Amino acid sequence: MRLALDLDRVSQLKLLKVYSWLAQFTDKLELFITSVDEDGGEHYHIVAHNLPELPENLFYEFRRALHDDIIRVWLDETLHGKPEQVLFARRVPMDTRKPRTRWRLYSILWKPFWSRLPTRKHYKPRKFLLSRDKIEKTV
Amino acid sequence: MTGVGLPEPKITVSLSEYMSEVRYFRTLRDERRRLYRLWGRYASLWRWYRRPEDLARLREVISKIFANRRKEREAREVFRRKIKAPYWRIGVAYMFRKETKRPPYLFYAEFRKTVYTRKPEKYAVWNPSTREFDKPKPWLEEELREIMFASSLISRRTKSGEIAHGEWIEALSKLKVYPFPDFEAAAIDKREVEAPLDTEQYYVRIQKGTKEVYEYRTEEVEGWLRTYRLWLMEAAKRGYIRYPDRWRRVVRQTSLDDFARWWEEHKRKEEE
Repeated sequence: MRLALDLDRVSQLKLLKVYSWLAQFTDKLELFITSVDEDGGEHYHIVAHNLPELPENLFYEFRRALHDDIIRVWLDETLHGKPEQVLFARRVPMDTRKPRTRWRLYSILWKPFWSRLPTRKHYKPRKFLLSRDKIEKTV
Repeated sequence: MTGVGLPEPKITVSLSEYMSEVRYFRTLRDERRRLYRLWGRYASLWRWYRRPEDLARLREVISKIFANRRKEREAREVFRRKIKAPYWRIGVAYMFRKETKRPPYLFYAEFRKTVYTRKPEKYAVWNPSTREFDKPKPWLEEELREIMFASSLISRRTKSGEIAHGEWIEALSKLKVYPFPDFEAAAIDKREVEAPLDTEQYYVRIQKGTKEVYEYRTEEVEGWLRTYRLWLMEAAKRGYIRYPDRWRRVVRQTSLDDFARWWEEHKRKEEE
């Protein structure tokens, strides 16, 4: 089963959460960033292939649980006969009217996780390096 | 690449793309076999005759082998991430929505065209740098415009003479902002294929307010196109349109902005 998620204005942590949930079920995952809003809200696409099969009602629940765009899920649920799980690779927004393509992310950890202080020292001098002088002296 | 136990992002490719990659590896292997043969040949020549040009050739062949192996390694690094996707869905859509609270007004127009196929490169352009289909072939977009024009042509007047509901260009030309086609190319499962392969599926939705919703499917839209072509043939026969093929091409290549501008002028002339 294929799952296409449209994550609008999600935080990096939520993106990581969804991605790692999906990574438990499949290793065939595609990740895209579509746009970044002026206030910093980020929009992502995740496509997961080879997921285990789910019944239809559960499938929509699953998508909602993974923070998919709820209007999109609702459209897929109610409007049959038109293609489901649509993700536009090229979108032309009405305001700027410039075609906008999404960018593939080759790593989920594409952004640094900012913290106020480093969790540990980056470099820890080894004991034998400290004692080298002593060794030389003794020899 | 991720390095923390998370899976690498994959690249979905069509079967033909995958096979062309396989063929590329085969040519590399054959080339390498040839180079190994030459290696032995020049090595033995150098051993028996000690000619400096043989040594030069030998070194060249060896460096070529290394280059060949490097090329293969680089290609395989990408190839490892590729997934064969037998079924694809290519979609182009004009979507437009305008809503105002006061006065209560809603207009929504959607013209969608979908093709299910095994060969997406027939309908979309592959971008090698991003490694995905990011543009439709121009004729796909043109056909969508033709549908829009045909629908407008048919819906201009009903038999009673009044303007029919589908006068979407009327609504658009007031608003002065026009939709542009959005594009989708997705690798899909077999069970998501909802129509025979390589046949265009159309979906048109015109909505005015919350109650007036008009939906049209493939058969109806094909009917529009048929009547449009008949109308064109008729006009050509009577001599109103001199070159119907050229006329049709112009319609296909006219952007929505130009069409709306033409419509405004057309209305003004009719009033005069």
